[in-house]
Amino acid sequence: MRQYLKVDLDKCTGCRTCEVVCAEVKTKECNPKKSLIRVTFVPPYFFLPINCQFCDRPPCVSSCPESALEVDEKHRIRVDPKKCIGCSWCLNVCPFGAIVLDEETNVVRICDLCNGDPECVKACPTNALELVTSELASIKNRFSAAQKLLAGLISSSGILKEVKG
Amino acid sequence: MKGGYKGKILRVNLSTGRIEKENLSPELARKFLGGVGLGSYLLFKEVPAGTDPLGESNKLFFCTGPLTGTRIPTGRYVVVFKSPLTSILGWSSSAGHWGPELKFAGYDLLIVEGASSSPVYLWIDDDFVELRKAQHLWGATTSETQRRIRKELGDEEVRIACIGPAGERLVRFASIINDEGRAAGRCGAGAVMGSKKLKAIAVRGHGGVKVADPERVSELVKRMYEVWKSEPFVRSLHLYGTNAMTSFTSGIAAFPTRNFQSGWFEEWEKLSGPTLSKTLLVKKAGCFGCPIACGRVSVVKSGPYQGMVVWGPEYEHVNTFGAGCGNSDLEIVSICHQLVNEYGMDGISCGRAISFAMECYEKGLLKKEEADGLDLTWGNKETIVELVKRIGERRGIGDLLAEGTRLAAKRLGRGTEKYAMQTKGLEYAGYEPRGMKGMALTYALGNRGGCHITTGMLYLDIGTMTWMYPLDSPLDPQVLDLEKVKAEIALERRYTVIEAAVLCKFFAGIVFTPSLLASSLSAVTGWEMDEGEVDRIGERIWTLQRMFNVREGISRKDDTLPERFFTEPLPDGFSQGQVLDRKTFEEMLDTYYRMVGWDENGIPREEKIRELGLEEFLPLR
Ligand code: SF4
Ligand code: SF4
Repeated sequence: MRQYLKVDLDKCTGCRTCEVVCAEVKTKECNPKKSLIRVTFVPPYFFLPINCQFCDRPPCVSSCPESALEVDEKHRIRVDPKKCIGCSWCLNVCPFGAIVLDEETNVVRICDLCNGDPECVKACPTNALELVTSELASIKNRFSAAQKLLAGLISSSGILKEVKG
Repeated sequence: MKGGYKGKILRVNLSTGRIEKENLSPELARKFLGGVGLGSYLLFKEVPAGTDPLGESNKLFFCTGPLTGTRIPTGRYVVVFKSPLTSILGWSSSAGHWGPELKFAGYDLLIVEGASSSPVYLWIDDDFVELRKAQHLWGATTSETQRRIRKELGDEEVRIACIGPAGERLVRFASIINDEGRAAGRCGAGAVMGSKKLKAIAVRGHGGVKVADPERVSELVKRMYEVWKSEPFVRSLHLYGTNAMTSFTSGIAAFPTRNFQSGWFEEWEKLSGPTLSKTLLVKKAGCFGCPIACGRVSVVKSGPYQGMVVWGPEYEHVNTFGAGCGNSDLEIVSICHQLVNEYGMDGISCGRAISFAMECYEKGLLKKEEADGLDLTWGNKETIVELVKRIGERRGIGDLLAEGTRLAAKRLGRGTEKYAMQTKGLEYAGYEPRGMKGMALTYALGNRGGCHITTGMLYLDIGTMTWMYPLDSPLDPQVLDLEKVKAEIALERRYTVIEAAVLCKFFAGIVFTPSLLASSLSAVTGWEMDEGEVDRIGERIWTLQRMFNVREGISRKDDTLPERFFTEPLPDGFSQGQVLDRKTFEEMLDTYYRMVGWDENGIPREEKIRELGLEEFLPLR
């Protein structure tokens, strides 16, 4: 099942702790430019952390002239550092700008979801990030929509309060 | 250097256009750390006595610190200069992301000297540094300036610190604004930039920051997070922003009201943090790596400014444009907040200039005709907004108020000096020193004038505890005694180190213990520092700043507060009847001078100066 990071736009404060932690865990250096998740500020006041979306038909993989990229069974993109020639073609075609070229090794790097235990998710102080499958994301969205839809009907009965906990 | 520093200083001369890179000496760094420490040292060395703050010889020192850009939460930078508002040492610090970006670009410090003949902006892209024409940006508001520079450079992630029309027009308390709405507000750094015709500094950095002991840093960050999560006051900063403070100061009736006529504002609840969350707030915004995210974003819901996006409002503006002017409309406060950011000026000094004018008007010392025909009655919303604009544009009465309350009162005469609520020229923030007596010391002794944040006294005075100065039980806000003097001394040293390491006074100032501060510095720099050394550094920087001011003529006579606080008891609320006792205050000053090794006139003694390794600055005058 494809997994990805779901962002709660209301919660994210743009603090970039996720960036800092990713860079440090993956490169042992506090350098946000090396992070595999990047917080993008969109005026007037939105912050959107973006990392690899683990696309179903990843353009980066199909465009690599050296076949250095491969999708594994968990939909994560594996980079073969021996094959990668640092041409940045994948980086050009990634619709999310989520691929980073390592200036020292000249090999690209892509989020691997920390093998299913994402450091950025754990570090985010506002819990704005969540590891989900598309099914889980829909369930969550459905549930909060249902709460809102029903709020008018049952607010007086006290049932909603129980649901919310 | 093992960690924390990039080891490089960037020096830009606007008169000659020369751009140089210098090395930062490790010995100097260990003595003064960075931020306000290295900045003050360099200011003393490079800016001679009597320098005109708005002249070519004044300089701006933009300083990061050893902790900037590390995982330890801090997104700040400090700018040090000689202040056009106070004519003494000026410094101002701002948050957001600009400071770390300067460090990532490879520099611990940026020195701006000289003056350009036409508007320019500085573009720093790692090693590549250039001055670019800014004629087309002159006159633009701060948000417009940032937008246009990002577009011009074709990079949406460039970080920009800039001035607005107030800085260009040399409003004496003009600020520098970065990252949309973060401000180096106090003391008029923006006017110094304006006098040099430097519109902005755009930065892009691609390097990282190495720390000496990454594992230890991770461990420390984990500990900080544990404390942060359980510390109720810091949690309230996340929930309600700095405006959480309104409930605390109102609770003890120390929320300055109508230009400090009272500490009790009847309608304070309309201005409070919870009210903001329920009404105008749309977002919480955090600085680089900070879990608190005290920043707010609000949207104005009605009136001529409907739809205006406000990067705030924060507590000080809630006080100065709210209670301070007798106004209970949070929307008006928000509009003023955004306007001072767009013009690029300090909302504390600006708000106090307005309430000063309102009180003079009330007392019949300022006539309607002299005030451009405006009705300066307390709480007049249109007038408050209009005055902000007039000050930002130096138009009409705004030209006078743009001088700051001290100078404006001097120009007006007629006994209006009484109503200029400032020490050494710097207007007070939102803490009433009769109801929070420790603040009387902090205001009187602050090296940049009547500043609220050179110590953490305000936390002690509202009865909360701060880990930075652990106590067995809370201090009484209404008492001025030896305990307060001791707290003042310990806190001014530690808070100075916070400003030199360049941490945030909310995060580090409350969550850190002195030993955590020492461990953080040690883990990052690789120098094993204990609490004693850290306090010593604070003392050294503090004394050096005092010495700079002494060189400019400061002494005991300036360590005081306006007459009002000694003669007019607070009229209502919890603090009713509270007043400062002149004799006690003077005794406490004597005690303070004695304890810190200054003479009875407030001049640091030569032995003290030598003991701190500052003999290169002798003789003082
Ligand atoms: S750490 Fe969390 S709140 Fe901060 S920028 Fe990342 S996602 Fe947003
Ligand atoms: S999941 Fe891991 S690799 Fe991916 S962005 Fe988060 S920290 Fe970086």
